[in-house]
Amino acid sequence: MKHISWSFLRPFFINLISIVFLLIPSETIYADNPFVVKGAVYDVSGQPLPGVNIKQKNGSAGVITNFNGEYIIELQTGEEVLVFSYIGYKTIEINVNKQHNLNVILSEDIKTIDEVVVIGYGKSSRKEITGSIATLKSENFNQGSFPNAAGLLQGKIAGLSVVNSNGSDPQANYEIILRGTNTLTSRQGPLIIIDGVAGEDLKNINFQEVESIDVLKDGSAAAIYGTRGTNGVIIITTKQARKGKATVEYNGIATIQVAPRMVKNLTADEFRYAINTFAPNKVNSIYDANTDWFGAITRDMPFSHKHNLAISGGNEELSHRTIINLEQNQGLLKNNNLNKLLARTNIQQKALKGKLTLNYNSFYSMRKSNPANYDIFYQAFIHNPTEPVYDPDNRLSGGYKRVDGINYYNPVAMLNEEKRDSETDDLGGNVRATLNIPFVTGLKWDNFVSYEKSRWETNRYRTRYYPSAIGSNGIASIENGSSNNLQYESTVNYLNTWDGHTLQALAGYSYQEENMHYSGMSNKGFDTDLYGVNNIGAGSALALGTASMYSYRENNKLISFFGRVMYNLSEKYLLSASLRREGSSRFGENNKWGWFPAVSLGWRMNEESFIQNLNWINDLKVRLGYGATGNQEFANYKSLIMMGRAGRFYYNGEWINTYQPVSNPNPNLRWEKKHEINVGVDFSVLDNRMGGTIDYYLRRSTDLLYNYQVSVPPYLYTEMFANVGAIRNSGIEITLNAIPVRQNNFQWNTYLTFSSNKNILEKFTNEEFTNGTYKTGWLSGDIAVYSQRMEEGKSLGTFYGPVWLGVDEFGNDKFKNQMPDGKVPESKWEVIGNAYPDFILGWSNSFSWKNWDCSFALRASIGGEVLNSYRLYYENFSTLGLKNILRSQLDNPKFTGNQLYSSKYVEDGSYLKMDNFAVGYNLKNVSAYISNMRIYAAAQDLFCITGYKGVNPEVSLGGLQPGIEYMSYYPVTTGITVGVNITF
Amino acid sequence: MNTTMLKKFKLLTILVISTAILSACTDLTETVYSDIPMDMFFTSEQALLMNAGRAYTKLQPYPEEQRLWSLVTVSSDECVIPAREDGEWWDNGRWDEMQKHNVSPTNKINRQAWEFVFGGISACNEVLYETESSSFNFAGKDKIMAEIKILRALFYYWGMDTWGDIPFTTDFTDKNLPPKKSRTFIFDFVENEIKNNIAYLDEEPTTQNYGRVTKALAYTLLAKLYLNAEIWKGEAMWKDAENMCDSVMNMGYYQIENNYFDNFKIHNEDSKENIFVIVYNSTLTTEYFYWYDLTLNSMSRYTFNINDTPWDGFMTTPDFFNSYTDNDIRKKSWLYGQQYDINGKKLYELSGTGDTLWFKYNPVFPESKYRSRHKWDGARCCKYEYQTNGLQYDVVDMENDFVLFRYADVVMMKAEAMMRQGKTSQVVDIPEFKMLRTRVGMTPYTAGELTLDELLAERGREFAWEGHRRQDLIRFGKWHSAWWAKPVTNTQLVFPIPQTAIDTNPNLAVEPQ
Repeated sequence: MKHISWSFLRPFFINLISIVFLLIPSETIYADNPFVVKGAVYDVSGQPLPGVNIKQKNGSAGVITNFNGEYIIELQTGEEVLVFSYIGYKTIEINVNKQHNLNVILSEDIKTIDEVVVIGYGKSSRKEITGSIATLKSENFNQGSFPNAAGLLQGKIAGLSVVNSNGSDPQANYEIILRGTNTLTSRQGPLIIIDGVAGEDLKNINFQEVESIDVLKDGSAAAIYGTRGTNGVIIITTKQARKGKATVEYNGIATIQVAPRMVKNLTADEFRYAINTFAPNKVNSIYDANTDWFGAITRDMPFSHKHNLAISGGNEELSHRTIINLEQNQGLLKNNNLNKLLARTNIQQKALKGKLTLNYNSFYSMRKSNPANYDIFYQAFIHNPTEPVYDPDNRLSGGYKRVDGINYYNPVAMLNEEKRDSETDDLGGNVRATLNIPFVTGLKWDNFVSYEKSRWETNRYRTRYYPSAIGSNGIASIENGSSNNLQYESTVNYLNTWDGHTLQALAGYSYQEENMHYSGMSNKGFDTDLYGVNNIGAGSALALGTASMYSYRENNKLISFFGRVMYNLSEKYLLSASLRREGSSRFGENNKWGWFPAVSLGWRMNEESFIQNLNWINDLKVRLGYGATGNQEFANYKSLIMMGRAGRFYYNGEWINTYQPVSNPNPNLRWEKKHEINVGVDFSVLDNRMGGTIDYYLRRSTDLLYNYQVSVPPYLYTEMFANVGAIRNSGIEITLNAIPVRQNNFQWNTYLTFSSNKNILEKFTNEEFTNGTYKTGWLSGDIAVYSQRMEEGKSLGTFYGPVWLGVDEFGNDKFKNQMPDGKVPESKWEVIGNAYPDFILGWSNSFSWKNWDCSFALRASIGGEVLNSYRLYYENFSTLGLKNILRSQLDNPKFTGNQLYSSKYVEDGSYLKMDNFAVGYNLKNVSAYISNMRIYAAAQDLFCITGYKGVNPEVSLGGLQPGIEYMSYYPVTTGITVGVNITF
Repeated sequence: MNTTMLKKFKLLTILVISTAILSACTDLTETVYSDIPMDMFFTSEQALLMNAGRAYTKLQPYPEEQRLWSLVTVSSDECVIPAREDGEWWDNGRWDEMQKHNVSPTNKINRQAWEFVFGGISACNEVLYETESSSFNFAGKDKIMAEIKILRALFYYWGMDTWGDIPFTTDFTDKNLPPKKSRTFIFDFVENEIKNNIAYLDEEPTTQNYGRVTKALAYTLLAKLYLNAEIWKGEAMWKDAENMCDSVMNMGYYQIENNYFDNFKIHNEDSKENIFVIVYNSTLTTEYFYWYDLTLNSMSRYTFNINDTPWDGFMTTPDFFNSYTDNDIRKKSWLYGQQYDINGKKLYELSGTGDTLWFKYNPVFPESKYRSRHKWDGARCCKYEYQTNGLQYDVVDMENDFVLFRYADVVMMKAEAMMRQGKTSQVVDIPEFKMLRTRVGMTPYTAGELTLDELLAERGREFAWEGHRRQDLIRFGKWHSAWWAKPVTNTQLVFPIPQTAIDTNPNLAVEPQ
């Protein structure tokens, strides 16, 4: 029999059969007039779909499904056609065919080209954008619990490096770097805009409230932000007010931390063995105890819980969303806590017959914490494990065991004898008023005002027994500060379509002002520790003249005028051009204002006839963009010449203050400028089952600011902050997403990002300024050398040092070009590594089957070296005795020489980490009140596969000395979270 | 008002308001709150004095751990920093370089000593330029300018002594990199600068000019210059040195104190012997003078009620210690033997096995322990009296004023100048010279006892740790000799110019002009 392939008819048949299968025959006969149809609408996995639009095709009847997906509609006859439509799903039309019960299944219509993309000062669709912009929607966020919203996108945006080098500190900050290091001294983080407020702090939102994140990556997209666009722009949109029946959502998370990663040093028995075998002259350092110092300062299973309650609802005229967020976090270090309270509300209101839209936001957040002293972990690492923690006979040290040594302190004493408190309050509000100008269609005038104020207070009290302060009889310090930020923006937006042409034009003005001041005082010599910081005048140092106080205040302004035109022809040929004129108070008198242009082009090739024949291509767009942006994130007042206090001078029998210049004037001080070209391809193929983008970029930052040593005379001060250098970054970014499997009730989504960047410091000196400090990466203490150099023509983060050849028969290091004294002169040092990885990969997968979902995310960094400070300072026997050393030295005791910096300690930092793994279960219609519930469990920082022998190869990559793992660290832990989301 | 006027009025108001708003809209002037913009300075006598005083503050870092004093003192035979047995103070051999006269151009202490000297010179050049340019006149302007010029000469003296041929500039407005000048050139400059400006200085030392440049300092500096002229200029000038000493002695304002240690006690501002000091205040000038941290072992904090844990590094060599006889009162400059707490009780430590280990400084120990001394080895310095009100680095530092030049040195220089002219028999009769010995419990020298070697040794005992030893050893031809933990050498009569200075100024890599 001839085999007939039914495959092309399959979709139609499945739908048809599903409908037929689900028909429930009716036994009741209804009257003919009116004809009532009822039923429910489901998606392919069987979940009911609320809010589906059902309309009579040739008539006026129309209803929406309720929260159970059910509907009832009255028709004239039983022969009508009903049209079922729902955003994101394929619209279908069904002839009622005299059925009174009609259940329908809708299938998803995944068209990423309709995805909304937030661009600067507005929105567009993925179809129309011509710059390099990445969008991350909530279904692709990382799962788990994060100290701030940056954790949601770690590993998810190609070209964006998100590194957490603070371990599991509840106050960890993420270091975010886009497309390589583009500056020497200015800030490297991207501009963060949250709901329209520029320069916001991620700590003021709860990560669970983020709806979507858009990242403007290339110059053409970010140029609209002028002097703040060089490091990219991250635009965060939080969940907004929603019309409809009032819903209440509750999210609860509980997390415990396990498996801290720490350094392997010697246990008490190993310590005794090591001394007796390898350093017998240090036998005086062996005491009686067996102390686990790390365990003495850490909690066994730190516990955190976070609760978020959101209420939203309203109608066309007025709707709101209000959230309250409460958190209590325990850190791994004892006494280290962070508690947060955040309340935010968003109200949307329409007035003037819908012509005026008002969007209000206000928030209040309070964070109270006991910050961690990272040095305690270092002291626990180097502490002699045979020393007991306590020594009751030592009254002077407060009963703690104390062995004298430079920078050697009992970590338990440091922990118990210091109290650190910090509290920050933030309050802010903003209003956006959008007016549709009457009589001119497509013209809108938008005004935005935002004001935020932040206050903080940090207190610290060290008792009379705090190890490095013994004899001071208690040291108290209080610091208060406040800052406020005012922003005003006014934009006019015009949109019109005619004859296949679409034009969108924007013109605007923006003003932003920041003020900051802080003050503090400190005193010591208290009779009792009971006051803490609360009676700071009582310290005896005040009367002796050795207490201190200080205050500081500063202010800066940013003003700009900007405009943009976006035009497309038949949605096939796209053009966007923007220009910004911006001025900042930070720049020198001669250069207060600058121009920042951008232009980009796009060509949607899939609309061309020769592509349209290729059915497997759904969407193919090629784009080319160029833009100029700036970086003004350096300190205030750098262009002025200032006199500041120098020492004191005894004149005519009394002490007077002296003054000196503390800066050279630089009226030519200006922003660092970046020019970038970006070429990209966006595609979506195989019935939108697979899509992605490929970008190649070349960016050149010039006029880099740096401090140069200058001769005094002729200059007044030994340093000059001047625009001199140039850096080039180029690279490739690839993002792929695909749905490899989608059938029955099972779906597998996969998401892959790849980034590779090459960095070159092109220029670092010019005729006038030739002397910048080019050695960086200072290794303090006994090593006392610089580990990295900045060289024209090479990448930043290049390690220079002696090349290690092994250990000789006497136990000393052998180096290339070694002198008789055992060292290698600096002139013979070579390149021994580079901190930047060759490429970074992110791969995440999510699976769903019926009510279950599961996801995991992996992240890999390949290439790049890390300097292992632990091994450099403590993998030897010479420090053994007073201090503990690394276990690895005992495993390989052949080396008995001195600690000398060399390529021996610069290790390959490649790693593969599993960032998170989550499993969840969804329940629908649990009860009369609860409509949805999701229960899930997630594990974060599960494992790290690496050849690096230190603690964590994920070290800071920003700044001028990247790639060094320092010894004061906060350990990484694996977090196990259980959570529940309930929608009432 | 009629409607047109009203309209115009409205228009005008709108225009005015818009202009006001527009100018505010684009106004980027900065408001500075916490520093003073330069154009608001230099308009009064007080401002000019505060500015000039800055040059004097450049003296304050002199006795720090890693500056000029430690560079010249550790490399001499009166001070050594052995490595402790637990490895502390080895510091990758940078002190050993000084001990063995093998200081490398990248040595940090050498570089910081250089920065101290040339920072002082730059500040003097700048202050002179600003004071001269200011049209504001006040009584005492000439005097303060003369003081700063001679202060600058003092810095050049130190530069020439330590590094030989050095860069030279006195013109603050000259934008070129300074050229390297020979030691002879610098010598002539210093000599002329002092001679040309000495007339303006104060002659009588009073509380008003305490800590500042006076005529006595100017003469003493000239005496130093002439005394070392044979080494520095190649031409012996003993008679001129003697004359300069006489100038100081004939003033009649200075005398040898009866108690040697009165020159170094906590409140030594009353000393009639000190000629030029760096004035310190316990809390107003912290971070500079903290010898208690450099030299004492941590247990000594109980002796002096010190808040810090002293760093236990600098000590005097066993040979130098042994050059004192027991009846020499100056031997009390050193802590040795049993140490006591502030109430007079003996200090001790309990060993791991429960034995009592009495805390005694052991002043004489073998050279073999240079790389691994016991923590209590070595005699420690207590020449400058330690205050007991809770010394703590950068919080409460030493109040004692640091003595740079004193009258005893003038007397000794006269003695030496005369001896080198063959007039030893007259030297032993000088009353002040005899008093130098009697006040410290020793018998005055006879002509037979007083040889140059003996004078060198006596200078050692008298001026221990005052920053003159290296200069003396070189002058007496003993710089290359062997002493405790130092073999015979033939290097580094001057220290190398730091690599960073050569990198910034290529003129320093070539021969002087």
